[in-house]
Amino acid sequence: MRKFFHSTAIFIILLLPSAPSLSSEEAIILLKKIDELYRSDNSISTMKMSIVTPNWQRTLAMQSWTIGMDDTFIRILSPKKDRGVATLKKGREMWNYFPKINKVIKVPPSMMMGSWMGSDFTNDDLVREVSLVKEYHVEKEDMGDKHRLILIPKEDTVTVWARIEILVQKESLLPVEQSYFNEKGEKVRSMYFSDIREFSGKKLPSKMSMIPHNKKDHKTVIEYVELEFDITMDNDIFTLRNLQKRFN
Amino acid sequence: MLVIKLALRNILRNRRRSILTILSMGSGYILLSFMLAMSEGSYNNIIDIFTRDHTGHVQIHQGNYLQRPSLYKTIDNVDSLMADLEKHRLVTAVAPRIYGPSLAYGKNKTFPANVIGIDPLLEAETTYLKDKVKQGSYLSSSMTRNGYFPAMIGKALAINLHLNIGDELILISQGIDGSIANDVYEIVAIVGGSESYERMNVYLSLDAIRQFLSMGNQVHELAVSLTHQSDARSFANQLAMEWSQSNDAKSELSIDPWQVVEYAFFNSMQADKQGNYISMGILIFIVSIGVLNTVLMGILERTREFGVLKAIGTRPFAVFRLIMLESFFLAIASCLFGFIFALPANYWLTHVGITFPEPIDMGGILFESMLGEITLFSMGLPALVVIGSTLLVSLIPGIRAARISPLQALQAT
Amino acid sequence: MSVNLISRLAKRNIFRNARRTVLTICLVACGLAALLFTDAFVRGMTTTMIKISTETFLGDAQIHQQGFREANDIDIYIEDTKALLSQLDNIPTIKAYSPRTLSGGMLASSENIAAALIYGIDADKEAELSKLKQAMKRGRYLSESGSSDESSGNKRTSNEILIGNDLAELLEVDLGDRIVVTLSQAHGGELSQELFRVSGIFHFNDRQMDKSMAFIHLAQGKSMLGIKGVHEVALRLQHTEQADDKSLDLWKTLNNTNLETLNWRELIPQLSSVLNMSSYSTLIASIIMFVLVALGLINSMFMSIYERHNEFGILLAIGTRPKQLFWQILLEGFFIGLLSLLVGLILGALLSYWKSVSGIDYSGSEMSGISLNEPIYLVINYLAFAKISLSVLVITVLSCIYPAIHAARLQPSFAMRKAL
Repeated sequence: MRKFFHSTAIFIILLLPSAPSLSSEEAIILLKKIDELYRSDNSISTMKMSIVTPNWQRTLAMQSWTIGMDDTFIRILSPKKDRGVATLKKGREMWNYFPKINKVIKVPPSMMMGSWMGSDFTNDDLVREVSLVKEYHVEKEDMGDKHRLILIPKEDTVTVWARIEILVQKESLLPVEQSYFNEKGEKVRSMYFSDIREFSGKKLPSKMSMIPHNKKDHKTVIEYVELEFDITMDNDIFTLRNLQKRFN
Repeated sequence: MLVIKLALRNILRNRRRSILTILSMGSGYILLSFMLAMSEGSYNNIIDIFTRDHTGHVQIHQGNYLQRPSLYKTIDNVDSLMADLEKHRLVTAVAPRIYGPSLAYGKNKTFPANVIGIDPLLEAETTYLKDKVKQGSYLSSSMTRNGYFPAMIGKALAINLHLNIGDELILISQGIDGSIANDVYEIVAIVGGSESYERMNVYLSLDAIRQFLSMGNQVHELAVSLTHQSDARSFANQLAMEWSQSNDAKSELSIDPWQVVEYAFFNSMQADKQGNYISMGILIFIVSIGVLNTVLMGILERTREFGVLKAIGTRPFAVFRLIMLESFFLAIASCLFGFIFALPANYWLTHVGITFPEPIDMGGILFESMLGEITLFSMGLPALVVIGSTLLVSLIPGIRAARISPLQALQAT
Repeated sequence: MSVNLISRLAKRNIFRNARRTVLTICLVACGLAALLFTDAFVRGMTTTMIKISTETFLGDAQIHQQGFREANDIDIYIEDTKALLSQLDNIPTIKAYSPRTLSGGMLASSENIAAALIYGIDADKEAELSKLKQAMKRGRYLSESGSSDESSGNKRTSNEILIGNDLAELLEVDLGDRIVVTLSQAHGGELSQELFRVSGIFHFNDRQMDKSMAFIHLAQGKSMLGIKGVHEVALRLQHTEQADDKSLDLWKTLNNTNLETLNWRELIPQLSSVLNMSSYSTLIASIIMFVLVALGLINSMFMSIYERHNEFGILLAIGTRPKQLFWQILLEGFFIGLLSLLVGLILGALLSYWKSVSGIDYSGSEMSGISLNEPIYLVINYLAFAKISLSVLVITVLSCIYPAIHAARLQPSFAMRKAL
């Protein structure tokens, strides 16, 4: 019933002459590009994460390996206190390793929605790096020098967001801002992309700042220092054994 | 004075009647004082046990920590604050606490746990925690032989994680500086039962938790124990006023008596107390009727006597005064009599008390017996009631007797 | 002298001094009324507290897989639900039952996250057993579980979730808003996440429930947890009192190596203790009352005897046997007692009846973990009333023994001496 209504709406919108929206097909292609922006068949990167809260501020330096969208391995390099702490994500499961106590702990659901290492990103964000294309309907709007992609979750999509909007620079086709909205239409958090650099032949924003709008004085900034794509990688990296390996 | 001599002689004239009257009113006194002692005592007893379980009499926090706890709302410069408090004459002990909810990891299961940092010695002086150690030995501030910081865990947590004395307990949380808090501890004791307050708690020493959460000379809570729980409110108010005047961080602190910290418990106590007052009211009413009966009878019976008095010229007021004085002396005698018997009875109640056939659980704490308490109130109020009702009850018959015509009186049987 | 004469005399004597008699009757009657009222009150409180606990959500009894209650381990569940439920259908003592899955999990909204106890319930069966349906304050209760499969027609209903108003406030959600429920599957602990929409908000007036419970359809609960069984079956019996009757067959049939069935007393023992304490304190109050009544009565009888010293003296002088006098006094006491009984009974019954209809409000307070969110209605137990009334009568008569003996032992010459 809803799908019927939805397609009717699109049909009507398409008929309206003044509607700025272009065909969904273009929107989908654009979204796919954004989906795969930081992904490739695999990647290795070094990045910095700066976290600002009303009570403290920290900067973590991390190294990360990824294969597709399923497997991720992140290890913290600094500060010294947390050096060696690592996270392994395989599919929808996640483990953390703590070198000080030499233990691997599987992340339980009670921690999944909690923040990853104190940042404004949740464990869930890391685990559910979803394919936006697969899980959202997308529309494109013209905003002068930028495109605006409006993503509405598909019926089966499990997410708390009612709508996601992505502002994309027309010239570079790179995202500038990604905002998350609740059912009431309020913008709850936004991610800002900046500092475009070239990595492994690809041009990408190297800085991503996540700012929640419902919490004051919180900010998390991720900055890619090094990023290489499609290098031969040992699958052994994504094992629990590797997780537990002593790292100096 | 003549009146007094007459009154006393009248009382002594009819021994049996006077004795019965005194007995009756005196018993009323004894029962009333017993009931008062019991209700006062049991309430105070329950409150005492409850507050010593873990709350303390007064709690101090930063800002609105009590309503909305947060790791970052800390009381700083704790040492000087505690020293100040301990000097106060009403304070018997001060226990500092740090709260850091964490994830507890046992052999291969994780569970959320309330991790509480305590000063083992001070905690033992303020609450019953030490007595709740069911297995193992109480926490100490030093490390165990294996080089770990010791930890005490609650029963339910131990069961859920399948952990025992000597096992390793892993705690993961976030430090106050944002760092990832993770450490291993050795379990030295299991506290409480599977239904008690401690069941999901982990207790570490202050040093251990400070290291865990990267905290300095800070705490989240100061639990203060006073000489008597009834001082809680006034102490809290006074301290709040004092500290709000000071120019430093002290003015930001909230000081709450146990009635606020545990308001659900307090409310049910109040409700119960009210119910008790009603029953006591009924008791007093019945005692008064008994007094009424007795005094009225005594006076009416002597109608002829009063008639004769008036016939020989006694002024009405004098008759009235005589009657009132007699009643008054009887009442006093009853109270004295009652007091002599009530005292040992109440004393026994206070120190031995009535043991329940089954311990009763109130707010998670077990009570085994009901104790009484002797206060000015429990001994004084019954006296007031007896004397007051006696005098009240003597008024009307006294007036009537004063106004009766000698002729009518002498004609009565 | 015959019994008839003595009793006639006794009756007449009582009313000779009406005022005193009335006062005495007043004394005894008030004592009796107070006792009756207290008894009804305590019964009312007991009944109300039991009712609140069992009817709100707990049920009169619950069935779990053996071992589940130790740590609420989601891996321990009742596997063959169908067989069990049809077995329950055939037990007439069981009025209603409700199968439930139960697990802890996280609820996430766009604003916040919170931990909660997630119950998967059968909408219809649950409505017969607990007060959840009546507790709905906004939105609707879960829709009828006609077809609980995942055909597209029912998709919209199967993602319904009910949360308490405190939880809704914490998550800053309203009707229709999205909630993502995350929980660990049984036997392995892989994550299960599903999207739900707030279809109803309830208010139990119990902070614990309003803040940390969420309800979804049983089918959803089962599929999210990856189990085919249920963790708990709550039972409602024909009469709550039957829960205490351990001789019933159902306890034997439902307690074996696999299943553990306990009644509410065993599930929440704290409540039991508080109720015991109440009956204990009633006993103490009764004793005190009896003593007072006895004393007042003895006093009154003595008064009446003194007044009639002269008369007794004459009676004895003309040959009345002491024993007859004894019985006369005793009978006087008996009649007073009877009258007091009547008055007290009426007074007590009226008061209790009045309060059994209008109730006494204790809202806001909590005892033994149970919020007294319903007023306490007094319960009149006729047997108890009869017992108490008779006890008072007996005490009345007993108290007259001493005065009666005194009267019987009077010396005529002494008695006739007119005291002024």
